[in-house]
Parts: sequence; C-alpha cells; structure tokens
Amino acid sequence: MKYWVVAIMVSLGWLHHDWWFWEESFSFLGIPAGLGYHVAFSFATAVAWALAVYQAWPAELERWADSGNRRRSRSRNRPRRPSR
Amino acid sequence: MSILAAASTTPLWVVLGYLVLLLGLGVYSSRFFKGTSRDYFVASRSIGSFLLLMSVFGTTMTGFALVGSTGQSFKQGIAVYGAMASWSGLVHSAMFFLVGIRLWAIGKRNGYVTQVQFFRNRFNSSALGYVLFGLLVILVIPYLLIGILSVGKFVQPTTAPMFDSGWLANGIPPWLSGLVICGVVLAYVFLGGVRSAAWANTFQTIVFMLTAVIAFFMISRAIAAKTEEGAGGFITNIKRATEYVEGESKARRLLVRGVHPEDKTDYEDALREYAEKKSAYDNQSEVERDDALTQWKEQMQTLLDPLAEAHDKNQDGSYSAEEFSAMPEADRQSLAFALVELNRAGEEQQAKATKLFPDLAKETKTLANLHAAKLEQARKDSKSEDVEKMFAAEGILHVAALNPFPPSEPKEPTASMSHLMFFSFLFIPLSVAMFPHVFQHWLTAKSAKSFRLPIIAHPICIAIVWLPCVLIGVWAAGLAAAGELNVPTPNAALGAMVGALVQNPWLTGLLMAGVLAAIMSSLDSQFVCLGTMFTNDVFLPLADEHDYTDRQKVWIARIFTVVVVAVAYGLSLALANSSVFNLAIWCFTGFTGLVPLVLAALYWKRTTTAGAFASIAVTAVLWFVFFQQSGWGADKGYTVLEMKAVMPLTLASAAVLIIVSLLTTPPAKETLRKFFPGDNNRQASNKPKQQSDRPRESQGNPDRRPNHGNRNRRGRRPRRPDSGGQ
Repeated sequence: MKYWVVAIMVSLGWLHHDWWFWEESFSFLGIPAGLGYHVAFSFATAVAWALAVYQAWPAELERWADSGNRRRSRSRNRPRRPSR
Repeated sequence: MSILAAASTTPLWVVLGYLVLLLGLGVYSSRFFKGTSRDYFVASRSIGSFLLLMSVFGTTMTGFALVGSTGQSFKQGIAVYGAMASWSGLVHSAMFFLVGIRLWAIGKRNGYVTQVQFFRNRFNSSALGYVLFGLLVILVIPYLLIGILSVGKFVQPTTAPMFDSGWLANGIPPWLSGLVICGVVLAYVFLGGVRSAAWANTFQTIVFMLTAVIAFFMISRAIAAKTEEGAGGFITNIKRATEYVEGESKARRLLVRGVHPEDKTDYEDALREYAEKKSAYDNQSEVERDDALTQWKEQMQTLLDPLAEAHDKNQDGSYSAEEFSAMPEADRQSLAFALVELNRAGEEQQAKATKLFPDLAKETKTLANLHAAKLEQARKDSKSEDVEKMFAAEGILHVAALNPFPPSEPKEPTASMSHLMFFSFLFIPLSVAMFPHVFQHWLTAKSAKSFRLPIIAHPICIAIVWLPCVLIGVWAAGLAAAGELNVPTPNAALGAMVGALVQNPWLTGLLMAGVLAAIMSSLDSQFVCLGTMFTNDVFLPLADEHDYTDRQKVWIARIFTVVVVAVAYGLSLALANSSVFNLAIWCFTGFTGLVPLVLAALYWKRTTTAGAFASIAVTAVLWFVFFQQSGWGADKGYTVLEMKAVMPLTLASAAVLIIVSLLTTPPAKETLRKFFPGDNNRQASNKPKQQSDRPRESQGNPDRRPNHGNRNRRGRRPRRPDSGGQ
C-alpha cells in the first residue's frame, strides 16, 4: 500500500484528537464547535478514503482473486497438510 | 410507561405496514435465489456497491444508533459523537479496506463462506477452527439477544395506552413482539439466505436514516417554537434549540467535552464566595455561632409556621407540587426562600428541605428564581413605611446575611470525558473486522470494486444518523434541566422528545419503525451467519460434505437457522430480566481482542498456529478477568489503568501473538502461497517480476511496438519466444 495513504490515515488519527476545540463553547449554525469539527472530520475521512481508493487501490488482489486455482476435490473444511 | 406512548393506534399501523413491506421485500428477493449453497451463503458473490454499502452499514448500526446514541449524549453530550461516530467512520472504512477486500479475495479464490474456514486453512488447524467457532458464537449470541430484548422493552410501554382493556392492557408483551420480529426475519432469511438479508438491510437502513433526519427536523422546530423568537427556518431552528441548552446552567456542560468556560467562571466565583464565608465563619467565636444559629432557626420557624397553617392541608409536614403551585405568589416566594436557605445550610438541613418539599430536585430553577424575587422584594420592603412589612423584610435579609453553618466547598466542574478515555474509544470500532456476520456480507461482493462505495460513503452515512441523534440527546438534556421534559431514563430521551414535543402519531410510528429497522438490520445478518457457521464449520467438517448434495446443504443451513432463531427467542424469554445488556456491550471488547489475529493472518507471514492459539487464549482469559472485575458488566464506568478495558486487552493479545509466533516454527511456504498474492505469482514463474527495464531486444521481439509495463494492448503479457510451455 502506498505510504502516503498510511500517512494520511495516521494524520487523521492525530487530528481526531482536537485539543483546540476541547473546551470551546461557540457554535456554528447551531452546531457546537466540538461537534461540528467531528462532523467535518467524518466528511474529510470520506475524502481521504476516496483518495486511497482511487490512488492506492490493490488491483493485484482482484486479479489474484479472479485467477483462483481452487481444487474442488479437496474440502475447504479440512485443512491441507503441508507436503514433507 | 414510555413517554413516546400515544393513545392513537396509528403508530401501530405504521409499524405493521413497515413489517409487511419488509416481509414482502424479503420474499420478493428470494425469487432471485438460485437454489445453490453458494447463493444461500454468499449470494453467489453478486452483491453490488450500493447494496453492499447499505447492508454492511445497516448490519453495523444496531438499535444503539438511534436510541443508545441519544441516551449517551443526554448524559455525556457532544463527546459521544467524537468518541464513537467519527472514530467508527475512520476505523470501519480502514477495516473494510485492509481486511474486507483481502478476505473477499481469499474467500473468492478458495471458496470460503465463513471466517472459520479461512482461519482453519490459514493456520492448518482444525482445532483452531473449532476453538474460534466456539468463541465467536459465545460473543455473537449476547449481541443478538439484546436486539430481541430491546424490541420488547421498547414496544410494550409504547403501545400500552393504545389498548383499554384485555390482555393487551399493558401493551404488546415482549414474548409477542419478539415472536413477530423473529418470525418476520426468519421468513425471509429462510427463503433467500444472505441475499434476502442484504435486500432487507438496504430497506431497513433507508428507513432508520430517514427516521433520524425527519425526527431532527421536527424536534428542532418544536424546541425553537418554545423560545421567545419562535420557530423559523431549518438552520434557525437548530441555532435556537442549541441556544436553549446554552442558557441552562445544568445542561450547557454537554456542549463541550472539557469544562464549559461559564462553568469555570461560576466555579471561580463560588470559590471566592466560599473563601469569604469560610473566613467569616472561622472568625466567629463559639458564642457568636450559637447566637447566629438560634436566630436563624427562629427566623425560619417564623417563616414556615404560617405557611404550614395555611397550606399544609393534610398536615404531613410536607408540600406536594400541587400544593406548592396552588399557593399565592407571596407564599410561594416565602417557601422557596426557606427551602433554598435550608438547602445551602449543610447536609442535615438539606434533608429537612427535601422532606418539606419532595420535588426539590426537580424545581431547583423555579425555587432559585423565587428566592431571588423574595430577596429583591425584601430589599424594597425594608424601606417601606409600613412597619409590619419593614420588620418582615428585615427578618428575611437578616436570615440571608447570617452565617450559622460552615459553608460547603463548591464542587469543581468535571469534563464529560477525559482525553485518554476519548482516545481509547478508537479500539471499539476495530471489532468490525472480526464480526462474523459482517465477514459474510463482505464475501457477497461482486468484485473488489464493490467495496469502493462502502469504504468512501460509510463515514458520511454515520454522520447522517449520529449528528441528529447526538444533538437531540443534548437538547433533551437542556429541556429536562429546565423542567420542560420528563426523561425517566437516558435511553428514553428520543422517545420523550418525539412524544412530548412533536405529538404526531405518524412520526411516532415512523420512529418506532426506525428503531425496529435498526435492530432488525443486525438480527437478520446474525441469524443467517450463525446458520451458515453451524453448517459449514461444525456439521460438514464432522460429516463428509461430499455425501451431501448442494441442495441438501441449503436445507441443512435452513434447519440450523430455524434452530438458532428458536434458541435465541427462548433465551430472550428466559433472560428477559437479566443483565444481558451488560454482557453484550462487553462482546465488542472480545471481538476487538481478536483483531490482531486477523490482521496478522492477512499481512504477517510469520504468524504461526501457536501464536494464533496464544492470542485467542489471552483474549479469552483477560476478557473474563476484566468482565468479572467490572461486576459482570454492572460497573459501566469500569476502566483498566484509566482507559477502556478493550485497549489493554487488544495490546496484550497483539503482543502475545507476536512473541509466540517469533518463538515457534514458521508456517510452510506452501500454505502461505494460498493466502499471499505475491508468493503465488512467484511460485508460478521463476522469472523476475519486472521485465519492463530490459531492453526490447532481450524480449526476442524487436519489431514490437513500445510495450509499457510489459503488457500488450489487451493487458496481457507478451509470450516469450523461449518460454517453452510455461
């Protein structure tokens, strides 16, 4: 996975803890500052995930899944013993 | 009785209409059932983006999303959104991206339909499969039970006023509402399996999202109408409703997570006043204190005796709310003055005040206003020419000035949530990575691209539901503090707001349907998941699955699903009055404790079977110990090292997994090839991965057009002339 995606998500995790609005009592459009910040955070999270989805999509997983080499004769409920 | 209760039966008809629509949709969706086990268990992996988004979101949102979130914000304010909703938006999407897509790919490639199949094969251990199966079932069942129990606890008081007499006089009993809900859900999952659950979840999710938005709109307008400016536009109503809470000293703390600035200011003023009174009290001699106390008691008796003679009709030494309301204004002021002075005078006098007026706690604002009015009037009357009035006024002012009792130190205001606690809520949404019913929904995805919309839109869907609910809870607290709303328990806040403020039977019915939708959207997935697990993780491994046709496997799953629903319903009747709610909330902690296992299984090749067993064991043991120390869940504020127990439990599980894995034999490469894409490709070809940096001549085809990324126009690798039969 691209490191910048990880960096964005870690940054969001850090930004989640908003010390700056911890005791702010003003409100915007009737929504208290601490609540409004986190609603905006939710939308920012969606944008970040959109970036991750379209820029760091694990396309190889999809190809790998489609190239599945299932052996129908072997049960998926009985694990395969490794060959010696 | 539920505050939501309405005498009209319209809400009940709305709910019945919702259930009929739901059942109809579920039955209709079963027409697309192909009759195969693959279709029953994973909808033939045909679910597209929108259905996947709605079904996964609906499954993760339980009744807590509407009722519980409002109740929590009634107690803790806006902190609830940041602690639960915005963390969930980030973490759930992360789990879908990191865990969901990968598990989908592995599940598709290997034909898995349950979590246990994946772990059993990943770690090459049937024993691990059975242990994990047992643990997952133990964790899911309480989670499922609270859904059924919540239905009963919600429906009965709500429907009580709708029936005058007969066996429904106390409302629809829990055994009947539970039976109807279980019956409706069983009908469509029996017929169509997980496909019907996905379709039903989509409908239910839309219903409870609409409920949250419509309730928000109507409640904000009703609160704004109570203000001096009255109701206006949508944004104006929200502003006025929040300003209403801001004006309530006992509720404004809910608008911040730390300490409200005005509460800090009030505390500092109270601290200064306390210091002055303490100093004056300490400087009094013993004789002066006794004299002041005698005068104070005489003055209070002078005030209270005439009131008792005139208004204490039953002479029981106390005044009811009705008696208080019936008094003339002057007498109400006198009684209020006496009660407030008694309340300030220490514990013994506070007890006397409560005995004198049992509704003291509810009417503090009214009493404070009357006390201030009495003092104001006394200051005016002290200058009156009427001698009797003047003496009475002097008496009031003298009592207010006397200092016969040691002053009480003011309580320092506390934050609604500490920083560490706020951070530790991060660990709760991690649990979604190990929910077996969410895992099953992941496996239904048509393609990996089906995950894109759920990953992106999940945080927005959470905001649409949680923002209205959190604000409604905070507004309810403001109205309750002002004495304008009666909320018997925090979880009754949403119902109280709708029932008392909006008084619209259609909205009441929609709210009831919305709550049921939120509950049932998790129930159907849990039922079909447990039926799938019993069939594929226990029955078929113990029997020889090749002895059963595909059609028979579907019927085995259906029978198991019926048994699961019957057992769950029976348990809900047996445990109706128990504290299973406490247990269920702890189940999230158990699931989160298993998340290091799934992350390691997917991303760390060095994870061993022994490490997996160790992680499961530590999770189970620590979970049991912490649960016991919390009084089997009774202590809702239980913490470990001042943080939620889920955090140290998950860290311990991860640490043990890593340490034991490093100390034990790594897994066979042959096993890893099935679960790690890179290994599989490397095994298929011994050639280096990247060929694009080689000169074109080495590819044996110098006349070919430029080949970017070593692929031709159709995206296929060109065949090397010397590759032989590979």
